[in-house]
Order: sequence, then C-alpha cells, then structure tokens
Amino acid sequence: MTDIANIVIQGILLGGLFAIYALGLSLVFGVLRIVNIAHGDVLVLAAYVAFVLSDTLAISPFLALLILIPLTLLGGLTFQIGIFERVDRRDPLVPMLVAFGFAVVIQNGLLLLFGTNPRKLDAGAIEQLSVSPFPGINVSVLAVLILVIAIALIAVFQAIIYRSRFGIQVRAVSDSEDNARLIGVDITATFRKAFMMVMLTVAVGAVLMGIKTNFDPFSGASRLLIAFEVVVIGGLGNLWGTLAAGIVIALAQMVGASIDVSYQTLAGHLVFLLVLVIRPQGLFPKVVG
Amino acid sequence: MTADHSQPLLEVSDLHLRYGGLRALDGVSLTVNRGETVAVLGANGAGKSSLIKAIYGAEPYSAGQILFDGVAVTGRSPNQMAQAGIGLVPEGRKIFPSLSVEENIRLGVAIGGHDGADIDRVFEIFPELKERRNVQGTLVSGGQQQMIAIGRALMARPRLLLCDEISLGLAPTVVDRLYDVIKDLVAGGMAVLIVEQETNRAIKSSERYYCLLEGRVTAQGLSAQADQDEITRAYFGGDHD
Repeated sequence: MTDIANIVIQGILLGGLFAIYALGLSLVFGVLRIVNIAHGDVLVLAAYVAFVLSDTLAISPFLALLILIPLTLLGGLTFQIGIFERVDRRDPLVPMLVAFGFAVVIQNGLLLLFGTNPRKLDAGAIEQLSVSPFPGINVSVLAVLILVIAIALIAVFQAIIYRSRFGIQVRAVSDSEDNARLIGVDITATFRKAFMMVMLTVAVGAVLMGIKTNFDPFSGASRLLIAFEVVVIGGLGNLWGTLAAGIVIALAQMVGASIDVSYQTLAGHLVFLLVLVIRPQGLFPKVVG
Repeated sequence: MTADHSQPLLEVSDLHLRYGGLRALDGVSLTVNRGETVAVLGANGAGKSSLIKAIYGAEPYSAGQILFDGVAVTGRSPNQMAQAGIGLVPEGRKIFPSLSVEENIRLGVAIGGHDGADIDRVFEIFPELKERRNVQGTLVSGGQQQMIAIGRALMARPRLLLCDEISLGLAPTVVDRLYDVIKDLVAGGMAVLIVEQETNRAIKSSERYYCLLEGRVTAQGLSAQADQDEITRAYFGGDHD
C-alpha cells in the first residue's frame, strides 16, 4: 500500500517537470505555429550552460538559474531576430528544417565541448532531504520544490495569456496571424514576447532537469518526446491541462519503473498511445478564456 | 496637434497596386477631409477592398503616395497606421474565436499603442455588446460581430475610420443602426471612408463619393448632387446599356 502511495507521489511530483518541458513547446506551436523539434536540444544546451556556470563559479544551480535566465532570453532574442524573422514561414516545413539543423548543431557542438560523459547539476544537501508525513511514505523535498516551481510558472503564464492585454494579442495571433496583422496587431513584437516566455520555461526547465536527472549531448530527443506527448494529451490552450498531462505521463513512467526499470519510458509512451486512441482531441481540449 | 486644418486629413495620390499581372489599382487618387464621410463605390473586383487595405498598409503597392495629416505614411505597416490614428473595420469583420466579445473589443487597445478609449464608451454605443461581453466573439449575431469590429477600431481612438463593406449580409435595420453610429462619430469630429457595394446607402450617408471601375476612379463628386445614371455608368462601365 505504501509502495503504491510512494509511486503516485513520485509521479505527481515528476509531472511538474514534464509540464515545464511541454509549456515551451506548446507556446511555440500555439502562437508561432512552429513544430520546434529543437526544443529538447535547446533544453539540454541550457542545462550545459547552467552546469558551466555552477561549476566554474562554484555556486548552487538555483543561483546559476538567476544568471541563466537573462542569458537564455538574450540567446532566444538573438535567434529570433537573427534567424527566425528572416525565415520564409509560408511553408511550415522551412522553420521545421531550420529547427532540425539547429538541433544537429547543438548536439555536435556539445559533443565536441563536453564529450559523451553524462553530467548532472549538484544542488547539494537538498537532494538527499526528504520528509515522511506518514510512516513508510517518503517525499523528496527537491521533488516538491520542482512541482511548486512548475505550478507557479503555469499560474503566471495562465494569468498572462488569459488575463492580460498581451494575452489577448497572443490568442488573436494564435487564432489567425493574417487577420491579426490585417487589423493592426504588431505580429513581430507579439512573437518576440511569446518567445521570451518560451525561453523562460527553457531556463527553468533546464536547471530543474539537470538537478533531477543526468544529461548528455543527446538527451534532447527523449525530452522532446515527453514534451510532445504532454502537449498532445494536454491539448493546446489550457495550461492546467498541460500540468495534468505531465502528471499522467510521469505517473505512467513511475508505475512502469516499479514493475521493471526498463519499462519506465515505455509505460509513458503506452499511456500516450492509449489516450490518443480514446480521446484524440486530448484530455483537455481548447477552451475560450 | 499643430496640423494645418485646411489640408485634407488623408491624401492618396496615384496609387498603383497589382496582384501578379492583375491591376487592382491603376493610379487612384482621393482625399478625405477632417470630419468628412467619403464613400468609395464600385462593383465586386473594382479595387475597393484593395484600396482600403493599401491605405491601411495591409497590401503593398507598387507606386503612389499616402499622406495622413500632412505626414507621408507610404509603406507603413497596419500597426504603424493604427498608431498614426487610422482605424480599420475590415471586410468580413475578422472576429477572433478564442476571444470573448469584450476581449475582441479590447484588442483594439493593443493595436493603438496607447491607453486606448474607455470600453464603457463602446458599450454605450452598443449596449447589446455589454450584455454579451463574456460570450465567445464568434457566437454572437452577424450584426453584433460588426458592432464588435467597429468598437475594436474605436478603442484605438482613430481620427480616420476605414469601413470595408460593413452592410454585407446584414438586415437593413441593423445596417441603419450602424450608419447612424457612423453619423454620430462624424458629428464628433471623426473622418470616415466607407467602401460599399450598396450604392444608395453609401450616397445617402456620405458627403462626397468616388466611383471605382477596374482600379480607376471613373466618377467623383458631392453625394448630394450625385446623378444615379452617371454612377451606374461609372459603376458598370460604358458598355452596359
């Protein structure tokens, strides 16, 4: 009984991290209409930057995050202005190919600089800290912290997109870029701000990922896959749905791992396929704000 | 504003626009004065919508010049035009399904680039929108969607309002209502450029008119002195009876 409870708790706590991976992918697809297949690799790249910062400055990864955020935003803006705004987006395949090329460059660049050895961010004593609210049940403080950060990020994003003037613009552009441009919405500015939100999820997601798990130059693909599955299950347009979907995938992984460690990722994919068959529109389809 | 009030608010000179080999606008010139309602008449495909879109910066033109309030605004984007003080009520209304009625109207604030008008002012003009403010924007009636499109343009506090086929597909009583609103706006000092297929309505509601045929101005004058036969000729071309 306590085993099951522990598995469920671990799944829920891990779900927040998966939701953060998915949040950025979902925004890029929903607003900029790009299937960003480099999303996982950008996460890994940011994790390596966090690793270098935390290693060379001998600071906690959480402190490194404060430096990583402006770096990531600046990097994203540079990419946006330097490459994305010059790409012909009338054919959706073109930006996808650009993303693919970017992914290959990131992977090989990281391989060249860091080799294949897996790295991890060292958060110190907090990693071993756990509380036991009931006998036999252990809750990792770090995992709780990750979930709390995920919930906070989603709450802020939900408020921006459904309660702010900028959010109205974002949703209009998401409905129809052409109509929004026609009536006078500044598409370029909307894209830049939305992409800054995406890069914020990348910085936060990268640090939390690096603390929670090992990563190497080729870890991007598996993170991308998780993000994709969460976006598809969660449906676009409702960010709390993204969190719930993250928890669904994470729970499946934890249940799979409890049977046999090698079943962990497979179980996540199976649940994803199952949801796709039963509810192809996602568990939480688009709602009107 | 220290602008010279004797000069036109909008001055379009010799505008050329083509889609591939097709000439949509072939040297169109027109003016709109402050506080004036000007109608552009013409059949389907005469270039009316192209003209409105070109003025608003939504359609790139190959040659010509546009002055707004004495300033050259040639080649600016719709967003820059909105911030300069031009509002667009687009053909087909362009209401966004993910936004509520109120959010569709508030979108106009973001377009104008400043604090915008008071939304209560829009709700005063169109009280039925206030009642349905939380309904999805595309679920209200066609007439109410047209009201949203006008309200959205007003939120950016324009000095010139471009109205593209606002009567299209609406009941005559609703169209009367919309034109009454436009009359009030003009009385309040706004200039309005209306594009209409429905000639009688446009002539009745305007002070001056231009007729477009195949991208050229074929007739113009004071609406009060408009001669129905001349407009029909200019509208359909000389070949028709």
